[in-house]
Amino acid sequence: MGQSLFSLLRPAYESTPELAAVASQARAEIESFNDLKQQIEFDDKVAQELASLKLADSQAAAFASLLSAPSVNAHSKGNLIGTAKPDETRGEPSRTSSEAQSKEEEEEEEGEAPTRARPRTILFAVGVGLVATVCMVIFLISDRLNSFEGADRISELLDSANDLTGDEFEAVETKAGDLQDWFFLKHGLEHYAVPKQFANIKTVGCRVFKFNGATVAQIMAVADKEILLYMFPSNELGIKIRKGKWEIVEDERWVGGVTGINNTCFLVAFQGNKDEMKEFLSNVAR
Amino acid sequence: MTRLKSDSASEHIQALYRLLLIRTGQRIRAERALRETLTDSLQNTHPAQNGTDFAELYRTALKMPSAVDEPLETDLAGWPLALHQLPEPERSAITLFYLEIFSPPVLSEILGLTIEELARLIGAARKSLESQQTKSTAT
Repeated sequence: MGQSLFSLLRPAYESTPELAAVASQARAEIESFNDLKQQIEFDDKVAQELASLKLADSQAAAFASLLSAPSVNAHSKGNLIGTAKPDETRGEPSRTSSEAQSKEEEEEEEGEAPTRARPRTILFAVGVGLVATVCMVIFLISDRLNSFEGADRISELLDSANDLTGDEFEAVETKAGDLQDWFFLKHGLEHYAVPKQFANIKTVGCRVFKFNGATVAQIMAVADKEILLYMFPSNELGIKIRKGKWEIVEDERWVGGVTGINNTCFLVAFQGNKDEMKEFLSNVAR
Repeated sequence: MTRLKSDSASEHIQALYRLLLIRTGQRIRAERALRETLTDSLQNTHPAQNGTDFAELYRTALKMPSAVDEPLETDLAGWPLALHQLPEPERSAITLFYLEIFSPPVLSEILGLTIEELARLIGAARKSLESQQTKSTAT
C-alpha cells in the first residue's frame, strides 16, 4: 500500500496520518528520496503557476462575503459580485481574452439585469400616471361643460350644408320674424321660433326638409355675411339645450350657434370658426 | 513543514476559482460557475446549519459543467493550460491536489474515490503533464 500512495506525497501532505509512513520511508532511501525530490520539484512548478491564477481581492472578498451572509438572496449575490471591475483581476496573460471577457460580462449583465425598478423611477412613473389621469379628468369635464346632448346631430346638420347650391330655397325676401305664417300656411310647420335679436334679419330664401326624421325649417339670410337659420323640434333630434343659452358647435367648414326657444331648437350657421360665431352672437345681441 | 492552505473563506474562494478556471478554461465562465456554485450551496444550506461546509462547495463546483465539446478560445497558458487539457477526472483531481486545500484522504472523499484510486489518478495525470513538458521541450 505504501508505494501506491507515493504519488500523493507533497510537503504539505506528509503529516497526514495515511501518508506519514510512506513519506518517512521515501526519505529514508536514497533512490526513492531522489524520485520524491524530482516529483516535488515538478509539482512545485505546476502548483506555482496554478497559484498565480487569482481573482482580484475585491472580487474574492465579494464572493467570500456571500459565505458569511447566507440569508442574502441569490439574486442580490449575483449583482454584488457582478459589480467588480474586470481590470481588477490579475494573473491573466492575454489582452484579447480580457476584451472578450468584458464583452461577455456586458452580455451577462444585460441578461441578468435587475428586474426591480428604483424607488425614484417608481415615484416618477406614478407621478406621470397621476398627472395624466388629472388631465384626462379635466379634459372630460371641460368637454362635458362645453358640450350638450345632441351636439353631434348639430354637426351632421352643419355638414349637410356643404351640399347646398342655393337652388333648393324658395325666394322669400322679408324679415326672419315675419315668416311664422309663411311656414305654417305653406308647410304646416308649427315649431317656428326666432330669437328676438334675429327677428329683423333679412331673409333671401326658405325651405323645409327632412333630416333624420325631423322636419327642419331652413332660412337663407343676410346679415353682415350670408347665414343659415334652422328651426326644428328639439326632441325629434334628441337635443337637450337650456333655453336662452347659446352653445357653439364647430365643424370643418361651418360653425353653428344653437339655442332653445320653448321646444324648438334654433340654429344659426355660417362658414367660419368659433371665435367668429362668438363675435357674431355678441353683435346680434346689441 | 508546509501546511494546508484552508484557513479562510477567501482562500477557499480563490481555490474554487482556480479549480473552475482549469475546468472551464475561461475566466468569465469560471466566475459564472463560481457564482452558481455559491448560490447553489447557499440555497441548499439548512438555515440552522452553522458555518460553511467547504467540502460541499467543491462537490458542487465539480458538478458544474466544465469545458464544452467544441474548442473555445482559452484564457490559460503554460501549466494551467496543460492542466486544462487533461481529461476528467484527472484534470479536477490533480488540480485539487496542487491547490493543497484538502488532505488526500479528504480529497478522495470529495471526489468519491478511495485514496489508492486517487493516488493512481494523480500519478497518471502527472505523467501526462511530464510528457507534455517533454514534447514542448523537444519542439
